[in-house]
Amino acid sequence: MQTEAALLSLSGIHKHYRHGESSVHALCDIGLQVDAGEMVAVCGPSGHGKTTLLNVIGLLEPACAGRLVLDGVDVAGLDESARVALRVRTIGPVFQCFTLIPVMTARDNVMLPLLLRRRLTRPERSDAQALATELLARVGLASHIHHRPARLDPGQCQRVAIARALVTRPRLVLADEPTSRLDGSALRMVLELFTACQREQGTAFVITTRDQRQLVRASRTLQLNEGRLGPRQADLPRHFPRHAAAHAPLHTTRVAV
Amino acid sequence: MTPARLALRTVRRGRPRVRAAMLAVAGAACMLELGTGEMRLPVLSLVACVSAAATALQTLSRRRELATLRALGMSGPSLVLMLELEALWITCGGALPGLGIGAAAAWSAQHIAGMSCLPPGQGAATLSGLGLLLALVIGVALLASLVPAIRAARRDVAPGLAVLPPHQEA
Repeated sequence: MQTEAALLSLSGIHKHYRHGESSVHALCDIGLQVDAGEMVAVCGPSGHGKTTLLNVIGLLEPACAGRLVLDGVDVAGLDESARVALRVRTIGPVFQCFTLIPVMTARDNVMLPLLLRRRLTRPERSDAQALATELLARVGLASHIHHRPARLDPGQCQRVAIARALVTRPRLVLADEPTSRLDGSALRMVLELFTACQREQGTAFVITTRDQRQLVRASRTLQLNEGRLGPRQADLPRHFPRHAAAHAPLHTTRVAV
Repeated sequence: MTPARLALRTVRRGRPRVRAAMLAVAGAACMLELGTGEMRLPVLSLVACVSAAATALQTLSRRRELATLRALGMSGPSLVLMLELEALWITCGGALPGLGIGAAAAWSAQHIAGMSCLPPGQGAATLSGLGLLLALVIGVALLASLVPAIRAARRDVAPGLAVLPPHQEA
């Protein structure tokens, strides 16, 4: 059942690509509803449409058919500039290959979404720097804030990309395999940060992942196979309370993000 | 982050392609300063080609980076402005020393070797003449880089984000 109160609502979404005379159906009749503070994990084999689904939700690619309502706004009636404004206001993206800007330091990369929104005054810029530094500290990179991406390893770049997605305090974070390069302690820090955002700001997460450690934190786990989205229960431990997973107690300090 | 600061950072980082473009513009500016009327059109065409090629190569090699900027909220016009400013820094970085070297060579030829070694009608340029040549070079370079910059701004964001980073391409 669809309710307009949901943060994100998709119904009947189709997406296909044309390659010459053939057509590839990337998404078939996708229906999904995500509420504020929820973490939805989408898993599935490579090439079955996970990234396409995130691109469509993130308004980076238009759907061929269907209805997408984001933060109460039906995107079908929006022109390009309104879509960009909605995306920037609502969504924090974590891209699969991190995609940091090579000429900028880690802190400037984290601040970038704030800097691109509008020209900041000096106090606003100081606040943005403080927030970026704080987020980098939360993902364990306090000593790397002045490092450029070339001096960071892939796991550190991934954490910078995660901090960048959260710096605007988005209502919805779309993360494409955000923990694929993280080891134990870094993964724990990132998951704690995600949970803190869920609790304190009601941030919703749609995450594609194959990482079991992240799946157990998800409110819901869905499976995307050949462009079709369905529930997935098999890989989760039976005893784990899924809806309570996101609100499990964590050893975390409070940080306003 | 304003487009100007991003552009300046990219150029200051001194990628080999940026340095090569600056050298080419410097050479062209030097020839422009030393050449006579009929030589100036091909030299200006060379400046235009260098600028357009440098911008086109930059946009192709940085497709993922530019797509990221768009995805994070940079508008199309801001992206065009950023690429145009990069072309401006590269052109200024090449044209200023190139024109300077050309002027010094012309002055030396005039005062040390005598006018006979210079083409007819050519002498050491005045300051206003140099300024005019610099403005001409910059104008040609910016116009030439406008097309690849607009094309880059019009590209779809999602395919750009799917481009693999260099360490994964192999």
